[in-house]
Amino acid sequence: MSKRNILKIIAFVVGLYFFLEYILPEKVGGEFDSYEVGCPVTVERSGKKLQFYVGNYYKGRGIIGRMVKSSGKWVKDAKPCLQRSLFLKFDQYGLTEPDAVSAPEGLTLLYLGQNEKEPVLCYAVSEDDGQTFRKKGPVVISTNEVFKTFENAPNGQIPDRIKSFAADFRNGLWEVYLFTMTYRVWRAEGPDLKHLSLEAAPIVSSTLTEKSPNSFDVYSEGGQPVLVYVMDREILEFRRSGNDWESKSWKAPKGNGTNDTVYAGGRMDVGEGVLYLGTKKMQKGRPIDSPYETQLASVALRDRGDGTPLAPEMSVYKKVGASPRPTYLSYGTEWAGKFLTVVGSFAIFIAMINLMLFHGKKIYQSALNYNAPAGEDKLPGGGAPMRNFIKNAGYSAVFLIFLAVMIVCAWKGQTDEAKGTVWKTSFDFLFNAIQLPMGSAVFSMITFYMISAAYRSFKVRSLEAGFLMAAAIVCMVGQMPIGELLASLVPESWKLLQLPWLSGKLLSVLNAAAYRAVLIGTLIGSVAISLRIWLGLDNSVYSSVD
Amino acid sequence: MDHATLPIIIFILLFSGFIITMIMLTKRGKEVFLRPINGLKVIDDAIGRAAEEDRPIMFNLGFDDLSVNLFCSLAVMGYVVRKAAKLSMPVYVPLAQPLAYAMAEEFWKDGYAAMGKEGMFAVEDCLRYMSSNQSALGAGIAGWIKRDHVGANFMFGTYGFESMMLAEAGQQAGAFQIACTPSFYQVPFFMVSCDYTVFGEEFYAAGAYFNRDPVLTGSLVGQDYSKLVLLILIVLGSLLLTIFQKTDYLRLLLQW
Repeated sequence: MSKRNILKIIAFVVGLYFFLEYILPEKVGGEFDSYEVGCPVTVERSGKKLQFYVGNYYKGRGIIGRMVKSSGKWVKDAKPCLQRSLFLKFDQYGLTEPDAVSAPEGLTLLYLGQNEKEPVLCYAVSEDDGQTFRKKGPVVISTNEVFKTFENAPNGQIPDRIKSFAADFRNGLWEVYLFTMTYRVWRAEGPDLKHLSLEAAPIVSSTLTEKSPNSFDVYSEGGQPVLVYVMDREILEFRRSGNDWESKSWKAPKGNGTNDTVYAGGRMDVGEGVLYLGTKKMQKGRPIDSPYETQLASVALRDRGDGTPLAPEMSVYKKVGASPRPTYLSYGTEWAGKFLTVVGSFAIFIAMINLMLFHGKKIYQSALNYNAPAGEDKLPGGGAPMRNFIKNAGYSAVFLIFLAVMIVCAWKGQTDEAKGTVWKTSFDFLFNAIQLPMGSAVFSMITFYMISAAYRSFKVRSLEAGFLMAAAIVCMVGQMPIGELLASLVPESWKLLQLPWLSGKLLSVLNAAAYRAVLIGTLIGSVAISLRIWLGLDNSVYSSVD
Repeated sequence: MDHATLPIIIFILLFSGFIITMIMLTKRGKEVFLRPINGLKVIDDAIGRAAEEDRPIMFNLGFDDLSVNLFCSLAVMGYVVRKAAKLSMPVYVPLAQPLAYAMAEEFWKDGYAAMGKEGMFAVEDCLRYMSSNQSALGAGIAGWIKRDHVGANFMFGTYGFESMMLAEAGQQAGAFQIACTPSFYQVPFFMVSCDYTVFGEEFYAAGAYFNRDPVLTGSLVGQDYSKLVLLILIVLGSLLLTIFQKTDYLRLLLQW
């Protein structure tokens, strides 16, 4: 078999792997929570202590995972228990703010479904203690107009949007408390989640705290609701006292797993205590957009009276820099990325050698010619040795000297201990005082290039050039203050003559349409060439083989 | 990385089906018409003019690292190098990416070797890794064009703001310039400074114009069918969405 065919087979196998990795939906295995974990809630069912949390494999794509407490430790399930929908519109973009309730029909998980519009309160029911859930769709509350979006609000009604919620099932009735964007709390009640009736007035009509809470929960105490607001690590409990609400606050202990935020994550049987769950995000040394080091932890307040905390316990732990692995095959693509980085490093080495060879050769040849008599030198312009040497090899010498200095300074000056040393100072000086200003100077030169190019292209030699000229003038004048001034002289009904309007239309309609057309063509072109390379049909790629 | 949704998978399979079917048909002898693209037809003229004036040729590969764009540019570069080698002309290749350097070197050497001219020009004189910094790359190539008085300047691949510097330097040096890029926002700069500019999907069609390989021509026709399907969908979708904008399910389907 020829070398070319072997390469084609390797390319096909690797391409197939990448293709499958791309087309597999993220539900097929993988670490669904590798980017971030949060919003934990807890519930007891069939004697088991369960914890549900939102895991993101990528920024803003929340799906829900489950943990079970076993032998004093929280054990995470390998697969998520509830995924976002590909087709159902109410939770296409992810799931947030879950709340778990143990109800007779099964363990019920309520959540806010993210979609292209407003979040929708939805629910799902499990018959196997939360290993898998069956989606039941949005929760239906009578007088739903209250929770329509602002844009769709009928005249005279004050709409609102759900920010968070808490649910419970007691005495054969569902109770749902809705915490809204305007800090009001509404209560809805009903025999099932498809037939809830909203009370005529909110139980809290204005904010009880100055700051918006980042977590909200409600539990019942003697038949009365106790509202739990959590702000970072401060926990506030509100009990009704006549027409007012009395508050009691605690600080969650700062410790293992609770440095960042504590969630009102439900109640669990820990003696007399109420359980709160916390998260901790470590961002130090974290590259932008890389996964957080996040952990979930449980914090129990043993006694509501004095708030004595139990020791926090850690439940999920993520490493800094762990790449998202949405499918089983993502391990391979991650490895391929690392492989490419290593190969790229070698390529940089080769490229640097090429540069050094080129400039070294120039210096060497110039040095050979240094004392050559006029007319006998190998390079043009012989006669004045130093002048010629500088002319032919000056730049090369400067380049090699700076390259060596930069490498040494970067090598010695990049450690923490090197701060303030001559290496670090020199490196910073070379970078900030020479490289950056020179880059800016080169960039600013483009203006002059543009002027000379514009001078040539704005000569109206043909009909097309005339259109180009006219469009350019409209766009330029339309963006300038004088365009606004001229537009103010034209009547409102004569929009076509108002240059800012015309310029906007040219850019946002004609230009955007053309851009999209080109983009579609470009993308289909790239699909075609990728396919040719993948299937080994395009021999031009392999022309240097054999 | 985002993963494919079902509509994307369907479209990928559909387009792949068109392309592969058309490749098979052209391989069996189906005649296809390729619309002439002036910018690609004149590549031979540009090389010939540079040879007549005894001025070197420069082939820029843009900012592409390992990608399909780089493969497209390298395919054309291979053709230009072979033509130039036939006329014993040097082809200068400035590079912005180290990985592209390693690949371009192979294509460059192969082009000269194919014409029996290996060793005629030193690699380090003709292929030069400039910089991955746009300003340095632009300044370096502009200087190279002017110093060596380049006769034909080809700019293939993806470009950023340095496009203006390269194209204007070539213009000032009096070089015959051909730009071919998928970078939409650089097209105006190339258009005002170059003799010929090819952009959009024609960049990916470049390889098919140099050898009428049925694989390349067939894939071009397959691309056209894919575009036709998309065009019909866009027009139909716009019409249906306008007519049935109150019907929620249809809107959902169309938005999907």
